[in-house]
Amino acid sequence: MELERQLKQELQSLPIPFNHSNKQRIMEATLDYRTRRRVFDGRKNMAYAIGAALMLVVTGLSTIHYFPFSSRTPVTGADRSSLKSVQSSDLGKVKEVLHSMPFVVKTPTYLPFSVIHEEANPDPSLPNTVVINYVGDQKQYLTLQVEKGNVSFVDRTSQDVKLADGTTAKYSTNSAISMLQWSEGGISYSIQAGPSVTSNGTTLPNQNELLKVANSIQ
Amino acid sequence: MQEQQLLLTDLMEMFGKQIWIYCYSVVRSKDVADDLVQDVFIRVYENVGKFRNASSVRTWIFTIARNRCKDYFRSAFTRRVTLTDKVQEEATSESAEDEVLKRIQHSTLLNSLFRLKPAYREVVLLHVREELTFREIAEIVGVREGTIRSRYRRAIQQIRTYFDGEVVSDGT
Repeated sequence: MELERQLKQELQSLPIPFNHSNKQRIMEATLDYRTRRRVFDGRKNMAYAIGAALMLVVTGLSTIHYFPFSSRTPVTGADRSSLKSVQSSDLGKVKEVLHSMPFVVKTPTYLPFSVIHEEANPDPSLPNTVVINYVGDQKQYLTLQVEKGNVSFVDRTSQDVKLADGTTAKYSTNSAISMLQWSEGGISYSIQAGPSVTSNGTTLPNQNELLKVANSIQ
Repeated sequence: MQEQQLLLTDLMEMFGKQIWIYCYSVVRSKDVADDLVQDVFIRVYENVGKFRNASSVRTWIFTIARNRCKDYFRSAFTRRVTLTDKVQEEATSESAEDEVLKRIQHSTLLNSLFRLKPAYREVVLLHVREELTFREIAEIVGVREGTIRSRYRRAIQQIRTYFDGEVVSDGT
């Protein structure tokens, strides 16, 4: 027992070099992880959405009823009854998932394309986070990630843009994805949109399109 | 700063040093221990939402640390890194952060601890320094409580043997 007591004393008196700079380095690394995670999630969601779109094509387009609104009309909002006639089972699941979240999840009333599939899933890797995927008739996709809490969006390639209510958001884009992220009222939003593929090539929703989506969230 | 980051700051404050000395005692390199601790807390940050109180937070974090150390050895093995050279190199350094290395070098008892096999060393460190119960250590290591008790008993016997041998050879 004497040996153990002495050992304990010596171990506890060791000057451990875990200091403020270590903590600082870890905090920076977690922020960096967060950014990488969001980019990864964007790509992952894009893959899921493309997969879902392909699945719909494979299972037979004849069974799919397109949403009866144009690319410039709301997909959600006052009259959601039109959606029910289209994908009632999916919409039921979406509503169910959104209502199961421990905070109010607002969704956009405007999307830049005609939606043929909508799904919502809680993110298994992030707490209090839900991911809503919208798939368009030309394989476009838009993912809205809503998370409870104010997230610090650290991305050197993004630019600051203003939402209609004056909130500052971060916009970034590359050849595969356009992204708009912001926090408001203790809730963080991330919109990631993929390209539409037409005979003229691929087109990504631009900054204005994403801002319209963001401003329509209610 | 968001809630999750505040929680991480608190956890680093509470367990940072404990995790550092644990990782250091396993890998015996200050730089590697620094990197491992960083990895551990990134994992904590990443998974804190999944923590369901099935174990104590401390046990959970030590389990992450142990797995990271194991992963390190797997990768270190493939890179054929020899830690002993690194330890020698660091032990001669004069920086303030190497104080811990000097202390270990100059203490017969700590030296005896660090001569143990890693499986014995971690049990002693977790039980003696961190005051974890044998059951908690068994949960972290993933073996039966009896195995941990037996490892601890043998480890203490070996430390005593090394320690007595060193003291006798020093003539003290």
